[in-house]
Amino acid sequence: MQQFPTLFPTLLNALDHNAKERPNAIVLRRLGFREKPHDELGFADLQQAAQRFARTLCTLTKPHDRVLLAYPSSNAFVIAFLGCLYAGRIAVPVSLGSNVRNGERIAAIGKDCDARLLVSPSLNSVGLTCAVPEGCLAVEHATLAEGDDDATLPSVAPSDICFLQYTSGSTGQPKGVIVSHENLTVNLTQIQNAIGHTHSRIVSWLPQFHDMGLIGTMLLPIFAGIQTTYMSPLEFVQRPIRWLQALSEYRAHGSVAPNFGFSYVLDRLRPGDLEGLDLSCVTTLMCGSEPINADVLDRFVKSLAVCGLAETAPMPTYGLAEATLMVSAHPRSSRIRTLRPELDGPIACKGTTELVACGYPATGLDLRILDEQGRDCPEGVEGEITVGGANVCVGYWGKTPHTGLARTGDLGFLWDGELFVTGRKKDLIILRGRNLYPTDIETLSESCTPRAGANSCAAIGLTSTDGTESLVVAQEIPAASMRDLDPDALRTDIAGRILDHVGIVPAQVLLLRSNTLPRTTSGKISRFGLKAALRRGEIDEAFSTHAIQTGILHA
Amino acid sequence: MPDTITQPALAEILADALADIVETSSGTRPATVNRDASLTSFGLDSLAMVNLVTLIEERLDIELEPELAFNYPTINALADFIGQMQRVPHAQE
Repeated sequence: MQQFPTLFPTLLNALDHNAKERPNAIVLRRLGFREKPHDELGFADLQQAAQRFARTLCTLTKPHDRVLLAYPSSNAFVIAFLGCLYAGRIAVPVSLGSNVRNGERIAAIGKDCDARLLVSPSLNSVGLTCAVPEGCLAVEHATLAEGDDDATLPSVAPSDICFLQYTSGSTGQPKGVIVSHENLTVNLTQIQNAIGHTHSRIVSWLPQFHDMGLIGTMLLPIFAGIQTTYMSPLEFVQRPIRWLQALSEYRAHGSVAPNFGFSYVLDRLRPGDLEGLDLSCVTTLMCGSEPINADVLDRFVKSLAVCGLAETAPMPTYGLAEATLMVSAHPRSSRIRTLRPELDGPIACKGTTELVACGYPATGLDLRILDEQGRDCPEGVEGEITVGGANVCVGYWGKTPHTGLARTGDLGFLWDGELFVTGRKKDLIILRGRNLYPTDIETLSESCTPRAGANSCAAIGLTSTDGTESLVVAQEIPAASMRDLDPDALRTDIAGRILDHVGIVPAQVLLLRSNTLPRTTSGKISRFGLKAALRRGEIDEAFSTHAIQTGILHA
Repeated sequence: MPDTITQPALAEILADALADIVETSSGTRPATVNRDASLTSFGLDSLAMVNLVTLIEERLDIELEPELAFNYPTINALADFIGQMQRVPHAQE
C-alpha cells in the first residue's frame, strides 16, 4: 500500500509539537453554564496533565491493556484519553449515561475487550452501577491526575493500537473497531484537507466518546494546533441556541452535527433568538452520521442568513467508525448538491427521495461501489459502498481481521465522482445518529406479547418529511390471545420495555392479526415489505377497522 | 418564581408540565400523574426528559441543569429539589 503523507506519525507527536510551538494557546474550552466558569486548557497543560495520568496508569496496568473511560463532557476526558495513548494502553471511550441500562452496556463492552481498568471522575454515578466487569479494576480520575514525574513513558509506533471505537453491533454483541495510530493520523489529515488549513476554531456539542465528536472535534484541534469550544449534548438539547451563540461569540469557522441537530435548531428557534448573532465567520458546518435532508439544510441557511451565515456553509459528509471517521466530504465553499434519481439522470436505485451529495472520496482513499458479485458498478448504479486505504481499520477486537477492501453495509452510487448514499443493506435503524438493531427491538416486543413466538414482529425506521427517522414496531397477535387482550395496555408494555432497554420510545406500536406481516418466500418477515405496505395503506390493525395512517411518515 | 410557593403547589406545576410533555410526544394527555412514579414510566426518552426541564425553567423562570430529570426522576423528587434550591418553605403537614 502506498504511504500516506501525514504531518505527524502519531497524535502524540502532534501534541508534543504544539505544546512546544504554542504552549499557552487554548486547545479546548469547555463552556460553563449556570454560573460555572469556562474550563480552558492550553496545549502545554494538556500535554503535562496527560503525561502525569500516563505515568500512574503505567503502575496500574500492563502495556496494551484496555482502559474503559466513562466521563461526562469534560477536559478531564481528553486528558485521560491522551494519557492512555502516552502510556501505550488502549483507550476504550464509553458513554456515561445515567441509568442502569448504560451500566449494562459498559459491562458488555468491558467483557468483550477484556478491560483491565475503568476510570471515571466519580464511581458513584448511577450509570456505572454493575458496569465493572470481573477482573477489571475501577479507579477515580483524581487517583491518576497526580503522577510520579520520574517514570519514563514507552515509545509509541504508528502501527500500535490507539483506541477501540465501540459503535456497531447489537446490544448482545458489541463490536469494537480497532483504530491504530496510523488510521487516526491519516484520517485527521484527510479531515484537515477537507475543511482547509485556515479553519482554526471549532464549536461542538457532540458526545466526546463517539467517533464524530471524539475525532472530529476533540482530537482534530490537538493534531492541527487549533481550538475547540464545546458543551455537552444535553446542554445543546436544553437550549439549541447555545450552539449558534458559541459559534458567534468565539468567531468559529466550523462545527459538525448530524441532520438531527440542524432540524432541532429550526424546531426550537423563537423570535428574537437570533438578535445580535454574527455567523459570518462560519465557513464549514459538516453534516453527517445519519441521512442528510436537503430541505432541512436549505431551511437552516435561509433562517440564519439574517446572521450572515453563508449559504455555502453546510458540508455534507459520509463516514463510519470502520474507516476511523470520514470517508467523503462535499467541497468546501460550495452549495450542497442534490439529485432526484427519477428526474435528474438515468440512476438505478430503489429510493425516490431527493438525495444529497456526500462529496468526493477523501484524499488517498479507495472508494468503490460494488454489486452483489463484487464487481464495480458503473456511475449512477446503486451498490454497496466499499472502502480501502490507510484510514480503514483492520477490523473488530477479538474478530478475524479483514483483508483488502472493507464493505460498509451502506448502499449508494457515484455520480460525477460524488458519492450519494441511498440506504442500508441491512435494516439498521438510525435515530439521532444512534444505530439500533431491529432484532433487539423485535425480541423485546415479542417477549411482551402473550403466546407470541419469534418471527412475529418487525421494527422499522420511517423517515418523516424533515428527514428525521422514527421507530415503528409492528407486532402480530396470536389468534389465541386476541379475545382477552387489552390492546392499549399491550402497546404501553411494548413501548415501555423498548424504552427501558434501548432508550427510545417508538412513534407507533401497531398490533396486527397473526400472519399479516409481509414475509419473504422463505417465511422471514420482510421489513422492506412492511415499509412499502404501510406507504400504500395496506396494513390493517387488529383492533381497529381503519387502515393505518402513517401521516407525514413515509417509508 | 415566587418565593412563597409550597411544595405541593410546586409539584402541581411540575405535574402539569409533565402532562404537557407527554401530550406533545404521545398525543394523549395522562388523566392523572402519579407524583412518585418514575418519569420513564410516562414514556419519556432522554430528549423528552430534557424538554421537561426546559418547560419547568420557563414556567418557574429559573435556570436548571439539563440532567436534572435524570438525577431526580419523579415529580415529587424534582419538586423537593427545586423547592430546596429556592429555599421554599414546605407546607405544614
